[in-house]
Amino acid sequence: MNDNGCIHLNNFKAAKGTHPYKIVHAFFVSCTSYEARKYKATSCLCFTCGKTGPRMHSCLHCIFFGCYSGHIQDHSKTKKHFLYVDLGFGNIFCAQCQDYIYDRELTDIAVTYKLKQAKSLGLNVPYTPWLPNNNEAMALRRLRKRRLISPHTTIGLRGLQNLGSTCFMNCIVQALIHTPLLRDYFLAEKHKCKAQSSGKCLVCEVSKLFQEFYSGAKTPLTLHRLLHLIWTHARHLAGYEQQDAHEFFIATLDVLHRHCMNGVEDIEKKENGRCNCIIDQIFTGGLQSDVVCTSCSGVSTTIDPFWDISLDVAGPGSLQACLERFTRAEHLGSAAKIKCSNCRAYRESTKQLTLETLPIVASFHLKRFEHSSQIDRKISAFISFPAELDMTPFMSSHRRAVDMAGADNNNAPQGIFEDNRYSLFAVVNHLGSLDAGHYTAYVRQMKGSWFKCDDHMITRASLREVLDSEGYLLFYHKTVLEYECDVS
Amino acid sequence: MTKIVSELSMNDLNIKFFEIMQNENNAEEAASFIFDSVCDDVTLGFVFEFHHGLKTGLTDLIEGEKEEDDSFKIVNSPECDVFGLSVLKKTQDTNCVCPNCDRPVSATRFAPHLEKCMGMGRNSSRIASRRIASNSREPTSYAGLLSDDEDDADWAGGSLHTERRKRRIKNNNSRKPAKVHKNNSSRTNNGTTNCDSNDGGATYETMSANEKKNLLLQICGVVSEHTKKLCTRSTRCPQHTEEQRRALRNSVLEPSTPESQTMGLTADDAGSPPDSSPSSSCSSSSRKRDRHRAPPKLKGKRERNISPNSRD
Repeated sequence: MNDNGCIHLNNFKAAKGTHPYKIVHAFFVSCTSYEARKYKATSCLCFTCGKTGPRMHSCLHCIFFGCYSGHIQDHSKTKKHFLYVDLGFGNIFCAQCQDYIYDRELTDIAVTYKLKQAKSLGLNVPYTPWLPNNNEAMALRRLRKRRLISPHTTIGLRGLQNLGSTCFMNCIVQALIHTPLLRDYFLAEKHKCKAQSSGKCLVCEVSKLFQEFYSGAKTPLTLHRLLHLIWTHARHLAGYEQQDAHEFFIATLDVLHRHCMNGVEDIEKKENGRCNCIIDQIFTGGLQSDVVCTSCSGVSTTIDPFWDISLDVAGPGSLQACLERFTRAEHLGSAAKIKCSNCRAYRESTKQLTLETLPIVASFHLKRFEHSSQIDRKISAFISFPAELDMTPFMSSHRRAVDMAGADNNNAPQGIFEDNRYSLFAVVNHLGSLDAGHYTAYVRQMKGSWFKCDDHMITRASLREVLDSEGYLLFYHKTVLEYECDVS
Repeated sequence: MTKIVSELSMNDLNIKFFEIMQNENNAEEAASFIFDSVCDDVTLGFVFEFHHGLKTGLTDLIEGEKEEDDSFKIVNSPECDVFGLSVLKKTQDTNCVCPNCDRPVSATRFAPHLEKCMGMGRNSSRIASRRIASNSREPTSYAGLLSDDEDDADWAGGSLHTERRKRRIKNNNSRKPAKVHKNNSSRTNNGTTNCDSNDGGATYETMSANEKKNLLLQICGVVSEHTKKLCTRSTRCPQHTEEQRRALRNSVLEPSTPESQTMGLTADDAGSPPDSSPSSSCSSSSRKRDRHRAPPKLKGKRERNISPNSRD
């Protein structure tokens, strides 16, 4: 990779350093302060024609602004100044090379100023394309072959050996491996293990699994180390006989979350009281519970983190209907009075659950297994679920807006700019009866490309087939991702 | 230096803005000007990114050369999975090394093995605690060296084993303590057998000739290349060949004594009907018979079988 500018820029840098570029960038490209924005608004006019552009450039040698179409060329002829900064993007134009040139040192300066600008305006971090560092560039040069993931190859697919009724584990692993953001995290080798002992970290084991899935090998994998690690760190799973895929999923997330925290300093751990490990970043949402006292209308609100939502399946026929019922206000009868802090007495109240924050991966658990003192049974009722799901109606902010609109019709629902669309990417199914059953999973390898995973057997599947399946665990991934402010 | 003629003050800007916005046509024009500027900027940004990639060689670096993916093509056939393996054929069983006990276990029986090995199942906590107890109590015993009967079952050898395993599990609770006990009594205390030893021959090296003989009557005994441990399965274990067992016995036992030969033969004879070779107590077939005997008798029989060798 050649981003060392040109001879003219290097001569200039040797004579004057990077300071002139920094000044121009901080005031007229990025505007890292209110003052800078004022300067840019009032003084970025062409010295030749007095217009605001198009394509305004600043001379790097002296104070001069000029349009790209002729005016900076005139300036370079008369003044013999050859380097100009493009004020839109901060790139350098060399009039001697007659081209834009790229210098890594200046690019890095530009990136830091863009971050400062976003901070000064209270905006999210802007997108900057990935630039390889020296080592990465060398590795890319040395290893020229690129493995492409396409809908026509088995790259990213791998069968999993059944280790003796371990289909509950296999289907959860398939769902995790096909979680888009988790895949990006692990294939980018973002996990830097801080645990001291090797072979004891589940996150490292999952990292290795991703390498195996994308290695192109075709033989089924044996997840014996993974099972051992999970059982070691989640002893309550008490042997393989009574394994439930949902229970295993939650236990796996818990162990992964704990292992992500291994060796991490306490100060780093929490940011705004929220854990920022990759598991919590992807899977954790906030469930809001509002308890309204029927006497004084006082509201007591609590927000609890959640990894998945368990839904009753008796009655409603679709996922949306289940969610609608889940978020409906429920009157707690006289038998379940709650102490109202306002009235200082036990009162009847209504309780409503809504989603305060949505996780990137929304996992739904359809409660198909009913255990009571009299009877254990499986509810096989058909629940339809969509390939694309909008979660907006189940959000706390939306509910609030709807309630307000009921009283005052002029108020439009808030959060118009929020995008809460989700896409289905994995479905875990339980086949058979309560005591003799088998788990399989449908996973989406890429948009429109579905596969059925039945232990070691991976076969193509259609979206229709997926949507017609019974459904036990449903995994949805946020369709549009926002960039979050990263302090580091 | 040219005089800055084009500088405005914030006040100028504000006044100009209100002036312009007075006229609705201007507002329309301003809106389209802003739209055009944004469009131009976005386009320019894209062009710059593209130019940067080409000029610096980054695009070429990232794109590289596409890997030949013919060998990864998905097989589209109703009889096969995506890898081209038949849907009807069962997968071949593989082995994995149990991370808990470091012993090779058949992959398809790994979960039930691990459950017991970690002491998690219904009976297994008892089995595991007993194992731990016997290991710590007698560091020099065979307890860690000899195969537990449960683990025998984890080895998916032949189909024969399945039925045997069921019967064995039924009986092992009463039988096992007797075995462990017997091992302790038949050994001299100076033997410092270390089952965790990493240097291959050490386990045999530290044993007396009698100990070696006794041990090799009961177990396969071939030293694993990976774990450097003795194979503790039966003398007819399917993982090792008769050649390996014979070679080991030849090398471990004194070449001068005829036992090395005879012992090799005993292992061979184990395959014949149980009644024809009463002396092969260590073979799997005779163990099968022993199962139906009461524990004290079993103990007596084993001792009888071992004693002729010890006397030699």
